[in-house]
Amino acid sequence: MHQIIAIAMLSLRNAVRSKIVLSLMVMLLAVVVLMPLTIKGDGTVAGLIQILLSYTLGLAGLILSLTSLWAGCAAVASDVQDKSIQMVATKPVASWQLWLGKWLGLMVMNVALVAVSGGATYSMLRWHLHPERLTDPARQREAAELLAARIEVRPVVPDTRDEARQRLETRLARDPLPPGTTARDVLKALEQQVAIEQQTVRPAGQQRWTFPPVLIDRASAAVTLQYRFSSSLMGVTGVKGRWLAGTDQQPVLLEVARESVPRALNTISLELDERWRGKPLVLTYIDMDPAGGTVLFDLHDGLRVLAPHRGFDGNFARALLVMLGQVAFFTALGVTAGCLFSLPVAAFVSLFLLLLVQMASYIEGIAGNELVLPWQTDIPGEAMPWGTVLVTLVFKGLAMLLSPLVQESVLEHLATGRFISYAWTVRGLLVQGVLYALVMCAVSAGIMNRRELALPGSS
Amino acid sequence: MNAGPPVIELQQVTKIFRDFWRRPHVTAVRDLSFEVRPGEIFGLLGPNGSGKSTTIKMMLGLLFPTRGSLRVLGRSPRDVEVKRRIGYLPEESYLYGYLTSEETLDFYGRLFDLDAGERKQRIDQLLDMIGLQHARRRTVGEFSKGMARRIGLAQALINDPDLVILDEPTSGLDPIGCRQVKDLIQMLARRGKTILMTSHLLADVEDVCHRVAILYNGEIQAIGSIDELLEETTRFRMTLPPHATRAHVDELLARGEQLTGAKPLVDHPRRDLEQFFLDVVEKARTKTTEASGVGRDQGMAGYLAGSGGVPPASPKENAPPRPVDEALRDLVKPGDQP
Repeated sequence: MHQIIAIAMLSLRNAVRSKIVLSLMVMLLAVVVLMPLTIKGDGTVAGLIQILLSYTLGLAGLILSLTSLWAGCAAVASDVQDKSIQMVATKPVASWQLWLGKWLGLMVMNVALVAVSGGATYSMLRWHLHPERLTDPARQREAAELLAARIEVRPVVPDTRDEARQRLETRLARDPLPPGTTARDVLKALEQQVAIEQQTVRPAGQQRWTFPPVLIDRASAAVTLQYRFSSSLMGVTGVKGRWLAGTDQQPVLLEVARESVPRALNTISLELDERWRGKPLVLTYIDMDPAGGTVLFDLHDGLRVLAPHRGFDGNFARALLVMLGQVAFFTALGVTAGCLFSLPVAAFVSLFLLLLVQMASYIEGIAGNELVLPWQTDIPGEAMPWGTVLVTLVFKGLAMLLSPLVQESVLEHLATGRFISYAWTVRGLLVQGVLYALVMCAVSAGIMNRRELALPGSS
Repeated sequence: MNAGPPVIELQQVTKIFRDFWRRPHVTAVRDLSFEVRPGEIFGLLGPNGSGKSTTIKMMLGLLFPTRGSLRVLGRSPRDVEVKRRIGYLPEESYLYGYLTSEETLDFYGRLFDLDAGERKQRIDQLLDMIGLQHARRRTVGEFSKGMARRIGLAQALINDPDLVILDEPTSGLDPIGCRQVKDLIQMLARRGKTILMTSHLLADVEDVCHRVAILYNGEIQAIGSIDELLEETTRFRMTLPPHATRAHVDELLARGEQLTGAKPLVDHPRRDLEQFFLDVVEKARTKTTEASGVGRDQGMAGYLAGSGGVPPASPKENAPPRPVDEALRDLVKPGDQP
């Protein structure tokens, strides 16, 4: 343990002395302090919160990632370059202890930087949104709504497969399939059609969605309905409609008429009382627009209910922990690259990996494409060329490696008052920050044990 | 020297450096076989590029042999447990310039898992020994080459090692520092430590090493004890007692000429320059009360000298100055004395 602590302390001192790391730290402080003062928002509370939490803390996170990546690369690579590693490697220090010591030392710096960035942002947020500064009650309500940790409830999406299968059977009983068409393709198209119908409201028509029960621990709970939709009519800026809120037995307990804006995130506050306690929330949208367009709701991005769950401070702390997990991951990536390559190569490789991680969700999307190999189809031209198969397989492999790193933006959740779950925090901090780091530690140690540290060209 | 298994054992060790494409580029060491015995001071000599440093780095696990077998203290040099018993001074002291002397020694002490009390005691003794007690809070980056060398030597001894590997230990040191290092090496050997050293200063090696190997082009050209290698068995030297007069010498010369048919050579014995320099400095030091950092120290670290926590007095302080003729007598083997 003495060894790890000694190396950690040295690694911390070395990083703090690094000019590049110092410059990045100055940038970090400048971002946290100056950015909120210089960017002019849209004047709303939501805009201010967006600037402070999404932009400022987001940019701070990016700078922290770069700082940790560079400091990580330099931790071992510069020791190899100036040959001081020869003095350490000839002492009874295992490769994994060297790696862990370097990583832990940098993590002490990272914890301090995340805490300082978070503390400064939190202080500025509280200062800007202090009740004495927010005199307008509407703005106070908005601030209270956003500075919370609201749990997100999405509608229960009925299984489309049974309905699609029934329709396919009806269709097959009526007519045979056209040549070149497989039943599998038709079933897939029917499933999509059923799903779209569940999101569509025709002119003067209505659509109903059922949400899981919302926790109501007091007499009532103010929940927020958020929705995003598209209209079939071009250039429409407002669509009139009526929202009904109720339960299975009583579908109409509340009624709100509203002109909503297509493609924007529309918000309606609903006061649910004990009539909903333990019961599913049923929401019905009735189209009332005189223009007569069809409305398509986006169930994955645009229809949700946000219900009070926990306080903002805990949410903020969890967001910082998830950020810390990301920074820990990048530090580990840097130290690993520094163990394997010289400093310039390590910096280049780790920056490339940083980009790869940032593109993880895009890669996952590409990898999601179904592989159609020649022996899996009897339709000419349907099978993928081997080149495409190879690329898809590479992307699938990458996606498998990167999938634990794919996550929604934690700062976006924080800025919109959405609850950052404990599972997310644990995944971010322990899986991304610690588990991946330990895997990288084992890989680096294995390679370091086989690396000659005094080769003539190693400096 | 102690009997027992060799501390370092090389058998047919070859090291080939490869280029970027893994093609053999340079053969630095070729079929090297020798062993270093316990308690021995072994010198590796050779011109630049002869393979000395490569050999040392293989012994330390910093490079791996391409072929052959290399065992240090009975194990692979890459074994972490072996490293616990080794002290290493590289050819240049690759120290962290932003650490102070004290912090540097503390850092390396921690790497050997020494507890805080022991570290502190050893650091104090080592700083006394190398004469840098006054600079314990100065950063190593500000040091002259000689001072950095001293710190490098101290870190190599912080773990009280069984095997000390010193690459050019006297490089960058002034004559006093060189003498101290040589005294230290001999004292460590007396305590049963094994020392392997390289040096370009052949006089240093001759002074302290029991055996040497001379490398050239990665191969051993000569190996053996100093006496075996340097003794010219076909020539003789005679040393007369101090009360001998010129008349005695002339008589011996005449007798020698009569016996051999050729006139024997005679000259006055000379001190070597190092000894002369040390005598001059010693005289100057005793004359003045103002002492410089290097002159003030410098007993052996107590734990290295085997005297527990108490550093022994400097051998120089205890011993009276040696007469020149005594020094000369030491150069002559006992068997040659009249």
